[in-house]
Amino acid sequence: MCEGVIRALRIFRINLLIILAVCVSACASGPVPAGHINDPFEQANRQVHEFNKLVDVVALRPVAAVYGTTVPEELRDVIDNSANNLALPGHALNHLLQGDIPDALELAARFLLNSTVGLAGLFDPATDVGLFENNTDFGETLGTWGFAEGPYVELPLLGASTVRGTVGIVVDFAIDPLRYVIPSPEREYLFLLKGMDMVGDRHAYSDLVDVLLYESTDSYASQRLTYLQNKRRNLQGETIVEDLEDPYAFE
Amino acid sequence: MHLNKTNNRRGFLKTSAATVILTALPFRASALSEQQSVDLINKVIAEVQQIINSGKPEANMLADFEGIFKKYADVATIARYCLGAPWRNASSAQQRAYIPAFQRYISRKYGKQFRSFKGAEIMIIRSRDAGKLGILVESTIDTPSKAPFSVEWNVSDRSGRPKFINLIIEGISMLATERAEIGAMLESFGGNMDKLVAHLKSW
Repeated sequence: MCEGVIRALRIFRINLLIILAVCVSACASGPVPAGHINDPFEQANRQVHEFNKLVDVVALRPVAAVYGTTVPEELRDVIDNSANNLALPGHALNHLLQGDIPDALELAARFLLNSTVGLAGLFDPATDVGLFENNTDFGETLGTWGFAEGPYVELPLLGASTVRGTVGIVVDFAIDPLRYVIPSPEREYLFLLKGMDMVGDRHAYSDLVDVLLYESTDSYASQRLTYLQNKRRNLQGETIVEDLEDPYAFE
Repeated sequence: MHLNKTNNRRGFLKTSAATVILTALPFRASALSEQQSVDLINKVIAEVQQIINSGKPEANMLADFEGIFKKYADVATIARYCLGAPWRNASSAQQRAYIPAFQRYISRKYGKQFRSFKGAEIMIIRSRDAGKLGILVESTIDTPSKAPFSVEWNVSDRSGRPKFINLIIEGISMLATERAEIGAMLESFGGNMDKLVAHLKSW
């Protein structure tokens, strides 16, 4: 156990060093002006976007439709709860890295309650007692540490991100505390669970996703704007008034 | 001496006029109170909830949503802003046709989203001063099946009456999204305003 923790810490430290090195070179551009879109890789990003849409059309969307109609709602809820519960240690760790102790403690308490009373996360009694989900990630941690978001990128299968967000995804994978607690065969099942949860989310948010991907004239630009504005708000904790448009300042 | 006096009087009049304007300006800017804005959005939310829980067919619901936009939003200003520079190049007939077409489009597009919040609880959680933009009223939508999310209403009285001028859903601004969207539409029609209007009407 002790050895495992030391090993985890060592891996964590090495990963952090790599990430910091990548970040210093990639996100050293300083703060981004309000409402600004930095997209030098637009051409390549648009190709990835078309690929992602194709994957959605031929696989994710039809599978999600079948999943939503054949799997009973109770079971979908249980899968959703379990996947969300298993993501909590990672979120809590990031709150901690951001110096946000109250949110880290809230998520830790949520994890403990749902893992015990909630039968290993199948149910969500924590929400009923006011311990809410407050997700974050290492991309946001980097943001609170002062790293700029860097250029916008659309990743194959994973979708909208930035250079900072992409670094965050890699680090989140490496520092997820569960990786060091759950042994190997079970760990792989978690991917299956995450995959099912993704399909479930695609179903639960089908209206929103469809509007964004298939009803907008330029779905690439819509997704980019939606992602960047939402991420910037999450990082600030609230909508930034200075970023809002003044429709009367038009003439 | 006499001249001087007149000058002084004029000067005094000028100064007092300036004082009136200057004191009136900040008064005008803050004429819209947070309470007024919250009251307005409370009315909007009550009507939205009535519509989504009415059980009416979709077409009727969307028509009702258009009524809300017409009554409570400064649609003409939103429509002009979302079109941007091409507004100025449009003929007055095109401008007249564009605004109702945009109103139909925007209320249908957002109405369809709100429609899926049947049984949801919409609550105002706070309001804050947004300077010259007016007031931001934040509400949260709590649905039985999805995580609660934030919808902010930007209320302004610069049209002369308190109206909402933007909707910000989880940080995503309707004005920004729709300006990009209308721009992309117009581009896809080679800049042809009549085709854009026809397309908006087909929504």
